[in-house]
Amino acid sequence: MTRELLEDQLKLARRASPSFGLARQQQVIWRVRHRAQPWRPRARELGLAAVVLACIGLALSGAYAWLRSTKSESFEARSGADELWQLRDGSRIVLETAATVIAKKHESSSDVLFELSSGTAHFDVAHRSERAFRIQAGVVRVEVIGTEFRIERQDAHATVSVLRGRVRVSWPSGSRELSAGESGIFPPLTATAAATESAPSSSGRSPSASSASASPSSASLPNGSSASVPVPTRVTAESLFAAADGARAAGRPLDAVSALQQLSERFPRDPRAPLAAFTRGRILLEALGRPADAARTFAEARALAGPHSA
Amino acid sequence: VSVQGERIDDWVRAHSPYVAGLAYRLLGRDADVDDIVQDVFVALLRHRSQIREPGAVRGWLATTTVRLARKRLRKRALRELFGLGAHDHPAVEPTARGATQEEHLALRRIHRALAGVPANARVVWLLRYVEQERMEEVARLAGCSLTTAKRRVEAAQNAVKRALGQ
Repeated sequence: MTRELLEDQLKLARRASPSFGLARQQQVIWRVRHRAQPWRPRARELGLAAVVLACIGLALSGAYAWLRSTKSESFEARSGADELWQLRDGSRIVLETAATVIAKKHESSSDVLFELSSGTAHFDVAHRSERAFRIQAGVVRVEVIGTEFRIERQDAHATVSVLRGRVRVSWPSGSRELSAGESGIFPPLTATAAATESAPSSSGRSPSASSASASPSSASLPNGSSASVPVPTRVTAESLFAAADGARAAGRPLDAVSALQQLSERFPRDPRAPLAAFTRGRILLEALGRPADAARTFAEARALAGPHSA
Repeated sequence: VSVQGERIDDWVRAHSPYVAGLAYRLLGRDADVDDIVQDVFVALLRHRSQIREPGAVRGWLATTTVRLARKRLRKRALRELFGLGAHDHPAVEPTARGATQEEHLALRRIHRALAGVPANARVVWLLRYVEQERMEEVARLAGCSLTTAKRRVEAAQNAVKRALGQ
Protein backbone atom coordinates (compact mmCIF):
# COMPACT_ATOMS: atom_id res chain seq x y z
CA MET A 1 0.00 0.00 0.00
CA THR A 2 2.73 2.34 0.99
CA ARG A 3 4.86 1.26 -1.95
CA GLU A 4 2.03 1.85 -4.43
CA LEU A 5 1.28 5.25 -2.98
CA LEU A 6 4.92 6.19 -3.21
CA GLU A 7 5.17 5.01 -6.82
CA ASP A 8 2.11 7.06 -7.76
CA GLN A 9 3.54 10.15 -6.16
CA LEU A 10 6.91 9.58 -7.79
CA LYS A 11 5.38 9.24 -11.25
CA LEU A 12 3.68 12.57 -10.87
CA ALA A 13 6.70 14.24 -9.30
CA ARG A 14 9.01 13.11 -12.11
CA ARG A 15 6.88 15.02 -14.58
CA ALA A 16 6.89 18.17 -12.47
CA SER A 17 8.91 20.86 -14.16
CA PRO A 18 8.53 24.60 -14.02
CA SER A 19 7.97 26.61 -17.12
CA PHE A 20 11.20 28.38 -17.83
CA GLY A 21 10.27 30.46 -20.82
CA LEU A 22 11.99 33.29 -22.62
CA ALA A 23 11.04 35.93 -20.05
CA ARG A 24 12.64 34.04 -17.16
CA GLN A 25 15.63 33.13 -19.29
CA GLN A 26 16.14 36.76 -20.25
CA GLN A 27 16.07 37.79 -16.60
CA VAL A 28 18.72 35.20 -15.83
CA ILE A 29 20.86 36.42 -18.75
CA TRP A 30 20.73 40.03 -17.53
CA ARG A 31 21.63 39.06 -14.00
CA VAL A 32 24.45 36.78 -15.10
CA ARG A 33 25.87 39.49 -17.37
CA HIS A 34 25.65 42.01 -14.56
CA ARG A 35 27.46 39.71 -12.11
CA ALA A 36 30.06 38.77 -14.72
CA GLN A 37 31.24 42.38 -14.99
CA PRO A 38 34.37 43.11 -12.99
CA TRP A 39 33.60 45.06 -9.87
CA ARG A 40 34.67 48.66 -10.03
CA PRO A 41 34.16 50.80 -6.97
CA ARG A 42 32.28 53.97 -7.67
CA ALA A 43 33.01 57.31 -6.06
CA ARG A 44 30.03 56.93 -3.76
CA GLU A 45 31.15 53.50 -2.58
CA LEU A 46 34.68 54.78 -2.04
CA GLY A 47 33.36 57.71 -0.01
CA LEU A 48 31.21 55.39 2.06
CA ALA A 49 34.17 53.11 2.68
CA ALA A 50 36.28 56.11 3.75
CA VAL A 51 33.60 57.23 6.19
CA VAL A 52 33.28 53.72 7.62
CA LEU A 53 37.05 53.44 8.04
CA ALA A 54 37.21 56.86 9.69
CA CYS A 55 34.46 55.85 12.12
CA ILE A 56 36.27 52.61 12.95
CA GLY A 57 39.51 54.55 13.50
CA LEU A 58 37.78 57.04 15.79
CA ALA A 59 36.12 54.26 17.74
CA LEU A 60 39.40 52.40 18.15
CA SER A 61 41.31 55.50 19.25
CA GLY A 62 38.52 56.38 21.68
CA ALA A 63 38.54 52.89 23.10
CA TYR A 64 42.32 53.02 23.44
CA ALA A 65 42.18 56.37 25.24
CA TRP A 66 39.45 55.11 27.54
CA LEU A 67 41.37 51.94 28.33
CA ARG A 68 44.48 53.98 29.09
CA SER A 69 42.55 56.35 31.34
CA THR A 70 40.89 53.56 33.28
CA LYS A 71 43.76 51.12 33.35
CA SER A 72 44.46 49.97 36.86
CA GLU A 73 47.81 48.42 37.69
CA SER A 74 48.90 47.27 41.05
CA PHE A 75 52.27 46.51 42.53
CA GLU A 76 53.06 44.78 45.76
CA ALA A 77 56.34 44.36 47.59
CA ARG A 78 56.92 40.69 48.18
CA SER A 79 59.97 40.84 50.37
CA GLY A 80 61.51 43.02 52.98
CA ALA A 81 63.91 44.49 50.47
CA ASP A 82 63.12 47.66 48.58
CA GLU A 83 61.31 47.07 45.33
CA LEU A 84 61.27 49.56 42.54
CA TRP A 85 58.39 50.47 40.27
CA GLN A 86 59.70 52.49 37.36
CA LEU A 87 57.03 54.46 35.53
CA ARG A 88 57.09 55.33 31.85
CA ASP A 89 57.75 59.01 32.47
CA GLY A 90 60.84 58.29 34.55
CA SER A 91 59.14 58.60 37.92
CA ARG A 92 60.13 55.96 40.44
CA ILE A 93 58.23 54.41 43.33
CA VAL A 94 60.22 52.45 45.89
CA LEU A 95 58.21 50.06 48.06
CA GLU A 96 60.04 50.00 51.34
CA THR A 97 58.22 47.38 53.34
CA ALA A 98 56.93 43.92 52.62
CA ALA A 99 53.37 44.93 53.38
CA THR A 100 53.31 47.77 50.88
CA VAL A 101 50.44 47.59 48.42
CA ILE A 102 50.03 50.34 45.87
CA ALA A 103 47.81 50.48 42.82
CA LYS A 104 47.50 52.83 39.90
CA LYS A 105 43.82 53.74 39.82
CA HIS A 106 43.73 56.22 37.00
CA GLU A 107 46.08 57.55 34.37
CA SER A 108 45.62 60.08 31.64
CA SER A 109 47.74 62.74 29.99
CA SER A 110 46.70 65.28 32.63
CA ASP A 111 46.31 63.18 35.71
CA VAL A 112 47.65 60.09 37.45
CA LEU A 113 46.29 58.69 40.69
CA PHE A 114 47.80 56.00 42.89
CA GLU A 115 46.25 54.42 45.93
CA LEU A 116 48.48 53.34 48.77
CA SER A 117 46.54 50.67 50.63
CA SER A 118 49.21 49.75 53.15
CA GLY A 119 52.89 49.98 53.91
CA THR A 120 55.45 52.60 53.03
CA ALA A 121 56.47 53.92 49.64
CA HIS A 122 59.03 56.42 48.46
CA PHE A 123 58.16 58.56 45.44
CA ASP A 124 60.59 60.24 43.10
CA VAL A 125 58.31 62.00 40.67
CA ALA A 126 59.49 63.36 37.34
CA HIS A 127 58.39 66.95 36.97
CA ARG A 128 55.64 67.41 34.42
CA SER A 129 53.81 70.69 34.80
CA GLU A 130 50.88 69.59 32.65
CA ARG A 131 50.16 66.50 34.75
CA ALA A 132 48.82 66.15 38.29
CA PHE A 133 50.41 63.30 40.23
CA ARG A 134 48.31 62.28 43.20
CA ILE A 135 48.48 59.57 45.82
CA GLN A 136 45.51 58.56 47.90
CA ALA A 137 46.35 57.01 51.28
CA GLY A 138 43.03 56.42 53.03
CA VAL A 139 41.42 59.82 53.45
CA VAL A 140 44.71 61.58 52.89
CA ARG A 141 45.53 62.75 49.41
CA VAL A 142 48.97 63.93 48.44
CA GLU A 143 49.28 66.05 45.33
CA VAL A 144 52.71 66.34 43.88
CA ILE A 145 54.09 69.60 42.67
CA GLY A 146 57.31 68.04 41.35
CA THR A 147 59.21 66.41 44.12
CA GLU A 148 60.64 63.45 45.96
CA PHE A 149 58.85 62.32 49.04
CA ARG A 150 57.78 59.36 51.11
CA ILE A 151 54.44 58.16 52.43
CA GLU A 152 53.97 55.71 55.24
CA ARG A 153 50.44 54.42 55.56
CA GLN A 154 49.34 53.48 59.09
CA ASP A 155 45.68 52.59 59.32
CA ALA A 156 43.70 55.79 58.89
CA HIS A 157 46.77 58.02 59.01
CA ALA A 158 49.66 58.61 56.71
CA THR A 159 53.06 60.10 57.45
CA VAL A 160 54.32 62.26 54.60
CA SER A 161 57.99 63.26 54.43
CA VAL A 162 59.22 65.53 51.66
CA LEU A 163 62.83 65.13 50.56
CA ARG A 164 62.81 67.51 47.63
CA GLY A 165 60.34 69.96 46.13
CA ARG A 166 56.84 70.50 47.44
CA VAL A 167 53.63 68.53 47.86
CA ARG A 168 50.11 69.43 48.80
CA VAL A 169 48.53 67.13 51.38
CA SER A 170 44.78 67.24 51.78
CA TRP A 171 42.35 65.37 53.97
CA PRO A 172 38.60 65.78 54.51
CA SER A 173 38.89 68.74 56.86
CA GLY A 174 41.88 70.58 55.51
CA SER A 175 45.00 70.73 53.41
CA ARG A 176 48.57 71.80 53.67
CA GLU A 177 51.68 72.20 51.57
CA LEU A 178 54.90 70.57 52.67
CA SER A 179 58.31 71.70 51.48
CA ALA A 180 61.64 69.87 51.40
CA GLY A 181 62.62 68.64 54.83
CA GLU A 182 59.13 68.83 56.24
CA SER A 183 57.03 65.92 57.31
CA GLY A 184 53.78 65.33 59.12
CA ILE A 185 51.08 62.89 60.12
CA PHE A 186 47.78 63.40 58.38
CA PRO A 187 44.95 63.79 59.20
CA PRO A 188 46.23 65.59 62.28
CA LEU A 189 45.98 63.56 65.47
CA THR A 190 45.38 66.44 67.90
CA ALA A 191 45.97 70.14 67.89
CA THR A 192 49.37 69.66 69.42
CA ALA A 193 50.64 66.31 68.22
CA ALA A 194 49.08 66.21 64.83
CA ALA A 195 51.96 66.85 62.57
CA THR A 196 55.46 67.84 63.26
CA GLU A 197 57.63 69.80 61.01
CA SER A 198 61.27 70.38 60.70
CA ALA A 199 61.06 73.89 59.36
CA PRO A 200 58.75 76.77 60.06
CA SER A 201 58.20 77.50 56.40
CA SER A 202 54.85 75.72 56.01
CA SER A 203 51.92 77.60 54.64
CA GLY A 204 48.19 77.15 54.33
CA ARG A 205 45.86 75.76 56.91
CA SER A 206 48.44 73.97 58.91
CA PRO A 207 47.33 71.19 61.21
CA SER A 208 50.53 71.66 63.12
CA ALA A 209 50.51 75.39 63.59
CA SER A 210 51.10 74.90 67.26
CA SER A 211 53.40 71.95 66.88
CA ALA A 212 56.48 74.09 67.31
CA SER A 213 55.83 74.09 71.01
CA ALA A 214 55.33 70.37 71.20
CA SER A 215 58.27 68.23 71.96
CA PRO A 216 57.62 64.67 70.85
CA SER A 217 60.54 63.12 69.10
CA SER A 218 58.04 61.00 67.28
CA ALA A 219 54.31 61.56 66.92
CA SER A 220 52.07 59.01 68.55
CA LEU A 221 49.50 57.21 66.47
CA PRO A 222 46.08 56.13 67.73
CA ASN A 223 47.09 52.48 67.86
CA GLY A 224 49.92 53.21 70.19
CA SER A 225 52.70 52.77 67.69
CA SER A 226 54.93 55.62 66.76
CA ALA A 227 55.47 57.29 63.45
CA SER A 228 58.57 55.98 61.78
CA VAL A 229 59.87 59.38 60.82
CA PRO A 230 60.70 61.06 64.08
CA VAL A 231 61.31 64.69 63.38
CA PRO A 232 62.40 66.90 66.25
CA THR A 233 60.67 70.18 66.67
CA ARG A 234 63.89 71.96 67.59
CA VAL A 235 66.21 71.01 64.83
CA THR A 236 69.94 70.96 65.40
CA ALA A 237 72.78 69.45 63.44
CA GLU A 238 73.30 66.99 66.24
CA SER A 239 69.67 65.88 66.30
CA LEU A 240 69.65 65.45 62.54
CA PHE A 241 72.81 63.39 62.70
CA ALA A 242 71.28 61.26 65.44
CA ALA A 243 68.10 60.82 63.43
CA ALA A 244 70.16 59.74 60.42
CA ASP A 245 72.11 57.25 62.49
CA GLY A 246 68.87 55.85 63.88
CA ALA A 247 67.38 55.52 60.44
CA ARG A 248 70.46 53.74 59.11
CA ALA A 249 70.42 51.35 62.06
CA ALA A 250 66.75 50.66 61.45
CA GLY A 251 67.43 49.86 57.81
CA ARG A 252 65.73 52.98 56.42
CA PRO A 253 68.35 54.52 54.16
CA LEU A 254 65.98 57.01 52.56
CA ASP A 255 65.18 58.54 55.93
CA ALA A 256 68.87 58.72 56.71
CA VAL A 257 69.51 60.50 53.40
CA SER A 258 66.69 62.93 54.14
CA ALA A 259 68.04 63.79 57.58
CA LEU A 260 71.63 64.17 56.32
CA GLN A 261 70.48 66.34 53.43
CA GLN A 262 68.68 68.62 55.86
CA LEU A 263 71.81 68.83 57.91
CA SER A 264 73.89 69.86 54.90
CA GLU A 265 71.35 72.41 53.75
CA ARG A 266 70.50 73.97 57.11
CA PHE A 267 73.87 73.86 58.78
CA PRO A 268 76.42 74.16 55.96
CA ARG A 269 78.98 75.75 58.34
CA ASP A 270 78.66 73.07 60.94
CA PRO A 271 81.85 70.99 61.19
CA ARG A 272 79.75 67.86 60.67
CA ALA A 273 78.25 69.09 57.38
CA PRO A 274 81.03 67.62 55.13
CA LEU A 275 80.81 64.30 56.97
CA ALA A 276 77.03 64.34 56.64
CA ALA A 277 77.32 64.90 52.88
CA PHE A 278 79.95 62.19 52.56
CA THR A 279 77.82 59.74 54.56
CA ARG A 280 74.82 60.61 52.40
CA GLY A 281 76.88 59.86 49.30
CA ARG A 282 77.88 56.48 50.67
CA ILE A 283 74.27 55.60 51.45
CA LEU A 284 73.20 56.68 47.98
CA LEU A 285 75.94 54.62 46.41
CA GLU A 286 75.86 51.50 48.53
CA ALA A 287 72.35 51.19 49.95
CA LEU A 288 70.26 52.87 47.27
CA GLY A 289 72.30 52.11 44.15
CA ARG A 290 72.24 55.69 42.83
CA PRO A 291 75.84 56.36 41.74
CA ALA A 292 75.08 59.60 39.88
CA ASP A 293 73.42 61.13 42.94
CA ALA A 294 76.28 59.78 45.07
CA ALA A 295 78.88 61.46 42.85
CA ARG A 296 77.09 64.79 43.15
CA THR A 297 76.89 64.36 46.89
CA PHE A 298 80.61 63.56 47.19
CA ALA A 299 81.35 66.74 45.23
CA GLU A 300 79.10 68.60 47.63
CA ALA A 301 81.04 67.10 50.54
CA ARG A 302 84.31 68.35 49.05
CA ALA A 303 82.85 71.80 48.58
CA LEU A 304 81.59 71.91 52.16
CA ALA A 305 84.96 70.78 53.47
CA GLY A 306 86.63 73.73 51.76
CA PRO A 307 89.79 74.06 49.65
CA HIS A 308 92.10 72.70 52.36
CA SER A 309 90.34 69.33 52.30
CA ALA A 310 92.03 68.22 49.12
CA VAL B 1 30.72 37.00 -22.34
CA SER B 2 31.14 33.53 -23.73
CA VAL B 3 31.87 29.93 -22.90
CA GLN B 4 33.52 27.63 -25.43
CA GLY B 5 33.17 30.35 -28.03
CA GLU B 6 29.41 30.58 -27.54
CA ARG B 7 27.70 33.52 -25.93
CA ILE B 8 26.31 32.99 -22.44
CA ASP B 9 22.87 33.92 -23.79
CA ASP B 10 22.91 30.82 -25.94
CA TRP B 11 24.01 28.63 -23.07
CA VAL B 12 21.25 29.98 -20.84
CA ARG B 13 18.60 29.49 -23.52
CA ALA B 14 19.79 25.98 -24.26
CA HIS B 15 20.24 24.66 -20.75
CA SER B 16 18.28 26.79 -18.28
CA PRO B 17 15.03 24.74 -18.57
CA TYR B 18 16.97 21.59 -17.67
CA VAL B 19 18.72 23.31 -14.75
CA ALA B 20 15.45 24.87 -13.58
CA GLY B 21 13.62 21.51 -13.66
CA LEU B 22 16.32 19.73 -11.74
CA ALA B 23 16.51 22.52 -9.16
CA TYR B 24 12.74 22.60 -8.81
CA ARG B 25 12.49 18.88 -8.10
CA LEU B 26 15.45 18.90 -5.71
CA LEU B 27 14.15 21.90 -3.75
CA GLY B 28 10.43 21.05 -4.00
CA ARG B 29 9.39 24.64 -4.69
CA ASP B 30 9.57 27.20 -7.43
CA ALA B 31 10.57 30.18 -5.29
CA ASP B 32 14.31 29.49 -5.27
CA VAL B 33 14.64 28.19 -8.83
CA ASP B 34 15.59 31.50 -10.47
CA ASP B 35 18.33 32.13 -7.94
CA ILE B 36 19.77 28.66 -8.46
CA VAL B 37 19.70 28.96 -12.26
CA GLN B 38 21.41 32.33 -12.05
CA ASP B 39 24.09 31.03 -9.66
CA VAL B 40 24.72 27.98 -11.87
CA PHE B 41 25.41 30.08 -14.96
CA VAL B 42 27.54 32.58 -13.08
CA ALA B 43 29.57 29.60 -11.86
CA LEU B 44 29.75 28.34 -15.44
CA LEU B 45 31.29 31.64 -16.51
CA ARG B 46 33.78 31.62 -13.67
CA HIS B 47 34.86 28.03 -14.24
CA ARG B 48 34.59 27.90 -18.01
CA SER B 49 38.22 26.83 -18.28
CA GLN B 50 37.29 23.52 -16.60
CA ILE B 51 34.95 22.58 -19.46
CA ARG B 52 37.02 21.13 -22.25
CA GLU B 53 34.28 20.04 -24.66
CA PRO B 54 30.72 21.19 -25.23
CA GLY B 55 29.31 17.75 -24.45
CA ALA B 56 30.54 17.99 -20.87
CA VAL B 57 28.55 21.12 -20.13
CA ARG B 58 25.32 19.36 -19.21
CA GLY B 59 27.04 17.08 -16.71
CA TRP B 60 28.88 20.06 -15.22
CA LEU B 61 25.63 22.00 -14.93
CA ALA B 62 23.92 19.06 -13.23
CA THR B 63 26.72 18.65 -10.70
CA THR B 64 26.72 22.36 -9.92
CA THR B 65 22.93 22.44 -9.63
CA VAL B 66 22.98 19.52 -7.19
CA ARG B 67 25.70 21.21 -5.12
CA LEU B 68 23.87 24.54 -4.95
CA ALA B 69 20.52 22.88 -4.22
CA ARG B 70 22.09 20.91 -1.38
CA LYS B 71 23.55 24.12 0.03
CA ARG B 72 20.13 25.77 -0.19
CA LEU B 73 18.50 22.81 1.61
CA ARG B 74 21.09 23.04 4.37
CA LYS B 75 20.40 26.74 4.83
CA ARG B 76 16.69 26.00 4.97
CA ALA B 77 17.26 23.36 7.68
CA LEU B 78 19.41 25.79 9.64
CA ARG B 79 16.73 28.46 9.45
CA GLU B 80 14.17 26.01 10.73
CA LEU B 81 16.49 25.04 13.55
CA PHE B 82 16.56 28.65 14.73
CA GLY B 83 12.83 29.13 14.26
CA LEU B 84 13.21 31.25 11.14
CA GLY B 85 11.67 28.73 8.75
CA ALA B 86 8.12 30.09 8.68
CA HIS B 87 8.95 31.85 5.43
CA ASP B 88 10.01 28.52 3.92
CA HIS B 89 6.61 26.95 4.55
CA PRO B 90 3.91 29.35 3.41
CA ALA B 91 0.35 28.26 4.13
CA VAL B 92 -0.54 28.48 0.45
CA GLU B 93 2.28 27.88 -1.96
CA PRO B 94 1.66 28.72 -5.58
CA THR B 95 1.98 25.93 -8.05
CA ALA B 96 5.08 26.16 -10.19
CA ARG B 97 4.49 27.77 -13.55
CA GLY B 98 4.34 24.93 -16.04
CA ALA B 99 3.64 22.15 -13.55
CA THR B 100 0.14 20.83 -12.97
CA GLN B 101 -1.50 21.00 -9.58
CA GLU B 102 -1.23 17.22 -9.17
CA GLU B 103 2.43 17.12 -10.07
CA HIS B 104 3.24 19.97 -7.72
CA LEU B 105 1.28 18.41 -4.85
CA ALA B 106 2.95 15.03 -5.41
CA LEU B 107 6.37 16.70 -5.25
CA ARG B 108 5.37 18.56 -2.09
CA ARG B 109 4.20 15.32 -0.45
CA ILE B 110 7.50 13.66 -1.24
CA HIS B 111 9.43 16.58 0.19
CA ARG B 112 7.25 16.56 3.29
CA ALA B 113 8.04 12.85 3.69
CA LEU B 114 11.72 13.77 3.47
CA ALA B 115 11.39 16.47 6.13
CA GLY B 116 14.04 15.95 8.77
CA VAL B 117 16.27 13.96 6.43
CA PRO B 118 19.72 15.58 6.13
CA ALA B 119 20.32 17.49 2.91
CA ASN B 120 22.98 15.02 1.73
CA ALA B 121 20.64 12.03 2.04
CA ARG B 122 17.66 13.92 0.67
CA VAL B 123 19.51 14.92 -2.48
CA VAL B 124 20.80 11.43 -3.29
CA TRP B 125 17.36 9.92 -2.71
CA LEU B 126 15.75 12.47 -5.04
CA LEU B 127 18.43 11.83 -7.66
CA ARG B 128 17.85 8.10 -7.39
CA TYR B 129 14.04 7.91 -7.27
CA VAL B 130 12.80 11.14 -8.82
CA GLU B 131 15.52 11.77 -11.37
CA GLN B 132 15.95 7.98 -11.79
CA GLU B 133 19.70 8.20 -12.10
CA ARG B 134 21.87 5.10 -11.74
CA MET B 135 23.64 4.82 -8.40
CA GLU B 136 27.03 5.48 -9.98
CA GLU B 137 25.70 8.68 -11.50
CA VAL B 138 24.02 9.60 -8.21
CA ALA B 139 27.36 9.23 -6.42
CA ARG B 140 29.12 11.33 -9.07
CA LEU B 141 26.54 14.10 -8.97
CA ALA B 142 26.49 14.14 -5.18
CA GLY B 143 30.28 14.12 -5.00
CA CYS B 144 30.54 11.09 -2.75
CA SER B 145 31.52 7.44 -3.00
CA LEU B 146 29.12 4.80 -4.24
CA THR B 147 28.95 3.18 -0.79
CA THR B 148 28.16 6.49 0.87
CA ALA B 149 25.53 7.24 -1.73
CA LYS B 150 23.86 3.84 -1.14
CA ARG B 151 23.90 4.34 2.61
CA ARG B 152 22.33 7.76 2.30
CA VAL B 153 19.66 6.53 -0.10
CA GLU B 154 18.75 3.77 2.32
CA ALA B 155 18.52 6.17 5.26
CA ALA B 156 16.29 8.51 3.31
CA GLN B 157 14.18 5.62 2.01
CA ASN B 158 13.48 4.48 5.56
CA ALA B 159 12.41 8.01 6.51
CA VAL B 160 10.07 8.18 3.51
CA LYS B 161 8.53 4.81 4.36
CA ARG B 162 7.95 5.87 7.94
CA ALA B 163 6.36 9.11 6.81
CA LEU B 164 4.04 7.46 4.28
CA GLY B 165 3.14 4.67 6.70
CA GLN B 166 1.79 7.22 9.11
